[in-house]
Amino acid sequence: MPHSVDEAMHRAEQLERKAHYAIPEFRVEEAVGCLREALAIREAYQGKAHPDLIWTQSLWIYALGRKHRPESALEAARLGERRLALRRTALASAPDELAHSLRELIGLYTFEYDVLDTGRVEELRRELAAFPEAGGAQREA
Amino acid sequence: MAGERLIQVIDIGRFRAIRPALDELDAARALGLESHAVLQEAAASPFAHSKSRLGFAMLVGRILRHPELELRVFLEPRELDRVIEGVMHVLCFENGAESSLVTPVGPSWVVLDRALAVFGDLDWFRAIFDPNLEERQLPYPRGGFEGRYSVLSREDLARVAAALQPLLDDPIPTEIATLLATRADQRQAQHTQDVEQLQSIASHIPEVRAVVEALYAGSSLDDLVLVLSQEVRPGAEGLARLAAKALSREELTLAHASLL
Repeated sequence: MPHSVDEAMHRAEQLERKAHYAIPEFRVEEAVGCLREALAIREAYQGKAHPDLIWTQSLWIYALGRKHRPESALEAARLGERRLALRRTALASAPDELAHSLRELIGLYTFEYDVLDTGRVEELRRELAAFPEAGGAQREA
Repeated sequence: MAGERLIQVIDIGRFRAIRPALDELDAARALGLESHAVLQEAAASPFAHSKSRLGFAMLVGRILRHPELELRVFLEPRELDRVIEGVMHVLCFENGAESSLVTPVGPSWVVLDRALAVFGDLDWFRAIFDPNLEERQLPYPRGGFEGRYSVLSREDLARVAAALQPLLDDPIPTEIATLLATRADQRQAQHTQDVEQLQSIASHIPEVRAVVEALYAGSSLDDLVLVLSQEVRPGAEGLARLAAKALSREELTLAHASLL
């Protein structure tokens, strides 16, 4: 573990960058390894509720998508739930973007044509339907 | 040369000018005013709405709607990559970096496909269009195995223009004719192997065998050499046109990327 907060943040950024380069090249395991370490650093130094964790989780979800397997899709959806919880706070002033996040999570629960958790997806759909028309978010759907 | 290689004219001066904005986008934090101006300019371009840029204008719109938010909080990594790529294509490339695999030689691009692979047999071409020279690679867009651009120096550009000149002459130079004959020979061997495989698969079905024989009848090595020669000329003309355009202004050069 790094010795100072600055050092820790620098290390986390480095790992995230490395993962971001590795994912499009299908070096998925390498990316996941980097992201696991980056997330641990951020949680330890910034706390589990810090919005910076969102990017690390997004990269991790991206990497899992490259595996294209139902079990990876479910793992991505679980990470997506944690990310949504953080986004609810971070995007409180941007309901259109929160609506995007709900749609993304519904997408994560869908593997090819199968819905991996119909109950949860229904819940998310109901929440999305109740969303106020904001900034064109509904129209984009 | 493995895979197709796309060659286009890039405004490298423009790329250098918007590089700070690209770096800021890549950091995925909140954007400064200058980066916002770059995004606004990209969004206003007609190329931002082309079929090949599907979703780009919408993504930029989302960013511009929320200047107070850090990009990492609401964008997906893939979306961010698409924005960076789109900004570069729209602002730094002629015709918004439009290209086509169906039309390998276009007004602002050349795709070196299998038919034009003979260029990869030329020593000067291989040395100049080497995708592995890191110092010539552009940092954006981040493209995985494909889409990573390399650019040519002014000296290389001049070399390309000069080296292409003999290919535009009639008759085609002996060196190229020999290379084309070798290429044709390789393709003919591959073709014979393919036909034999198809015939063995279809050996028990006379109707299919007859179709295979009819399809592949009468294609000789000479025909193939002729076809390749006919394809090389437009390729050389297209490349020469791009090189001349790039040489016409100091801030322009040629960019090339693998399409795999």
